[in-house]
Order: sequence, then C-alpha cells, then structure tokens
Amino acid sequence: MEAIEPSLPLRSQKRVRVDWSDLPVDLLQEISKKLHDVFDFVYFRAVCKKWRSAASISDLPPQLPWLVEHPVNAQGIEGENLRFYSFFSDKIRTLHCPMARGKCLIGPSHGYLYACKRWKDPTPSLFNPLTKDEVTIQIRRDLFPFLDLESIGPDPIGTDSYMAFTDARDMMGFYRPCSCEWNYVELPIDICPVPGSCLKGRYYMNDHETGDTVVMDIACSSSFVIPAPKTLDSSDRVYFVESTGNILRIVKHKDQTLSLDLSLALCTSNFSFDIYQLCAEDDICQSRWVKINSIGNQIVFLDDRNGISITARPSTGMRINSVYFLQRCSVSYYGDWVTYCEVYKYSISDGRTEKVLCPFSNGRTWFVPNLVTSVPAGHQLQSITFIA
Amino acid sequence: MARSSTENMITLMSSDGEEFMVTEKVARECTTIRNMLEDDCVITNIPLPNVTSDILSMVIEYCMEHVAAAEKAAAETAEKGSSSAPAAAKANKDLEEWDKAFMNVDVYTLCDLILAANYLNVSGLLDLTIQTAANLIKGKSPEQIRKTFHIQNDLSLEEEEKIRSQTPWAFEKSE
Repeated sequence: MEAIEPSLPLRSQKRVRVDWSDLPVDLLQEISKKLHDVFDFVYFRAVCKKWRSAASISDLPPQLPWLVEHPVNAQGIEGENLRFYSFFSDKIRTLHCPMARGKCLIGPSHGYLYACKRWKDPTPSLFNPLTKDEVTIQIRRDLFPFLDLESIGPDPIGTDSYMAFTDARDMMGFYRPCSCEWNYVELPIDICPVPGSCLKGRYYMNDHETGDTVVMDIACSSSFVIPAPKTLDSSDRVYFVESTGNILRIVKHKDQTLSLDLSLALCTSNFSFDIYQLCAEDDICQSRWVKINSIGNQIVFLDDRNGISITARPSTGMRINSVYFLQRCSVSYYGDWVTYCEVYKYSISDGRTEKVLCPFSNGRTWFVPNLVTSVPAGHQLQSITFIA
Repeated sequence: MARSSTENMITLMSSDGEEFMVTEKVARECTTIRNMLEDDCVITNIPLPNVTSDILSMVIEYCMEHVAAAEKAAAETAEKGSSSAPAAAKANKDLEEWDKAFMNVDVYTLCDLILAANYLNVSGLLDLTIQTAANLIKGKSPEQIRKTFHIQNDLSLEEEEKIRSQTPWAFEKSE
C-alpha cells in the first residue's frame, strides 16, 4: 500500500528517469552479491518483485561466521535461544531455536551447528538455526554401549567427509552425514583417540607427546604417522583445518609467563601461531608438513576444538590472512573463579595478536549462516525444508 | 591539465547533444569505447545515446582521475627505478578517498551511474557504484530500503506473507 510520495525531488528535465526497481536483473544481482550478511540478503529479497526475482535463496553470497553464544536458562541448562554476533555487520541477533535446548554446542559442521545432549541420552544432532532443519545421528548402542561417548571430530566444512565418535577406549566410529553411512574402526592399542578433525576422508589427530600427526584413513581403517616438523615448540593446541583444498596444521602457542595483573585476571596475553601445509607425496606415508607464511585471502576461525577457513574479500572489513580465535580466561571474583571467553585476532603477516572487541563474554563456537542446508539423503528432516 | 599536442582527442556526445573532448587515453578507460577504437582507429566522434550529459561528465571525471593516478604512479616508478611501497600505498589511499567523495551523490544519480558504467563498461566505476548501493542497503529493513531508494512495494499480501513464513527469524524482534 506504500505509494511513492508525489513530491519526490524531480531530477533535471533532460534525464530519462530510471527507477531502482527498473535496474536490469544482472545489475541487481551484482548488488545482492555484495551483501555478506544474511539478514541484508533476506531484506533485499523482500523489497519488491523485481529485486526478489534478481536473487534466489540459493544465491546467498559468501558469509562470514557468526560467533555463537548459548545462554543457560534459570534452571541452569542450555536454553532455547541462541545468540549470534556478526563481526562483519556488528550486530547481535537472537534466534529462537527449540532444538538447542539442553544441548551442548560442539561446532560448525556440514553447514549445520553440531550439538549433543550431554546427559542421559547423548544423541548428537546437526541443526540449522535459520532453517530449523535438524538431523539426528543414530548411534549403534551395541558398538558404543557407553554413555560417555564423545564426539571428537566434526568436519566443519562438509566436503565429502565424516564426523568422528569414540568411546575413548578402543573403538572409533566415523559417520558420513551425506550418505548416513557408518564406518567403525577398532583402534590399535598404541593409538589413544584424541580430538582431531575429519578432513577429506581422513582423520587427523595430534600426538601430544611427540607432536607427530596420526592420520587414519577412514575407508580402509589404516593409519600412518606424519612426523612432527623439526622446530617443535611447546604448543597450547593443534588444529587441523581444510583451507581451499589444502590441509593445514595450525599450532597455537601461548606465552609461558602468566601475567597476574592487578584485577587478578589470570590471562596470557601473548599468543602466536605456526601454520603448516600438508605436502602430500605419491607414497602417502612420505607426506610431510611444510611451514607456510601466508594463507592468502583466507581467514581461519578457531573455537576450542575445530577451525574453519573462509575466503574473505577485503570489502568485508575483516582482516585477511589472519586467525580469529576464542580464548577462555578465568578471573577471581570474590573468591570464585569465573570463566569467560575473549576473541583475539592473530595477523599472520606481522605476527601480532590483538584482542577483538566483542559484546559476547561466553562465545562457544562459530556458525556460517546459510539458507539451504544440504540435507543428507535418507534422513528424515524434523522440520520443513526451506525452499525458495 | 596540460596535454601533449600529439595526443589524440576524441569527442563524446551525450544523449542530449552535449559534446565532451577527451584524450584517447581517458576514453579508453571505457571498454566499450576502447573496442570501438580498436575496430575503427580513425573514429573521432562517438555518440552515446544512452548517457545524459550530467552523467557523462561524471564518468569522464572518474576516468580522468584514475588515468592521472595511474600516470603519476608510473612516472614515480620510472623516476626512482622502483616504486616505493609507502608512496604507492598513500597514492592508493588518496584515490580511495577520492572515490569515496565522488560517491557522495543522491540515489538517482547513483542509479544512472551504475547504468552508464555498465553501458560504457568502466569496470572500476561499476564496482564502486555497485558497492555503494550495497552499502546503502546494509543494516536496513525492507521498508527502510524502499524509502532510501524510492521504490514502491509491489508485493502482494500473499507474497509478503510467504516471505515472512520462509524466513520468520528475519522478521522477529531482535536486540
């Protein structure tokens, strides 16, 4: 019903008036491609018929991850609301997400958020907080009879890959959401399953004692070891991340001197990262890690367990060739230790780490917004799939 | 700006009959014109029936500024033997600032500039104008976007309802 006001400023008489809704579709498409916040994209499509026709829901431009916070309710369990913060558009969004209730967020996976009920019934599931699609993963209780089943390696990108589960004893299960297929691997005695990442059909984990990388080929249940790079430093955490088709080993170092400042905040302020790229040989056992000094126009986002690598354009305002990471800190508050989470940015080119201003004090992980989740075949979705 | 007499001058004619004399180098910033010149090198007068004089003068202003910046950078490189990184960075920043100021136009002019940049195929100007339009959209509700761009809402109630039901989260009250 909104009629254009009759008193719009008239432009110079000699110009033929072209309305914004008359712009050719290809130019409108170019504009929609610059909308790197999913809300802007959805609002663009709600302006008028012509604009709507220019951008299909599946054409969502590349998005930067949101930081996710999962507030607990009055009963002390994770509630039904998820809070998201976009560094790109500096906005906080709260989404009502009933399937998040009572679940512990683990990380981004296959375009979904990966979460697991912690108590009683540790059923892992994948859900998309935007489309509300949810996929629950059925675990074979005959193989994993233990309730302390741990899911230790969601594949964050979902490129034809697996998620890993272990009972922390002698068995690992690898689940492939795109085909609902399970592979079970009995572990050799000398392998202790530790958190790692499933990338391109292999599971990468770090041997804390030696710094070697244990790689398991999921399909043929074989494993091999990539020796640690020569310069072995004390590392805080080792991540394996897929970045533009390459596998990266990202080693986070923490300054050993803990600074105890006046506010009694026990925080380490110096972080650095070493980044290695897998140099694969024909004989896979000859593969080695090669240190690299740049990840180009990529940005890596790390949470406690996993990382994702995103191609970023300079127009998004975020610093390319850098690592954004979450750092949990503790502070003494009237005798109690309170944990909170800070976000830091490590610039690979100059080796500097700086704190990033962020309105969340308890960010858990990252989520890359998407409007069309690739629904694994054979799964019954628990809500209506989103179709444009 | 002083120009050498040997430089070819080309006359561009706007839809409303105004003529603009520019150097061939500036005209070549428009890929459409460059292609015409390559097909027929003796051409000196080019009618542009899709571009009005006020918009054409802006496109020419943009091309001249960018040609001048490129020439300056080339001259500095030639003088010093190699380009100094800080100077190049400063020149880039200056040009960005100039672009930003150049984009301080109303939405009608912006729309015409997008069409002209597309028609004349000035890739830098097209990128700049498209990005400016996207920046005007960012952070606004559909209604605010319509107001900014003076667009009439022609969606039926059913269509609006469908949009809301597809993406309810985008229309819920947020913080």
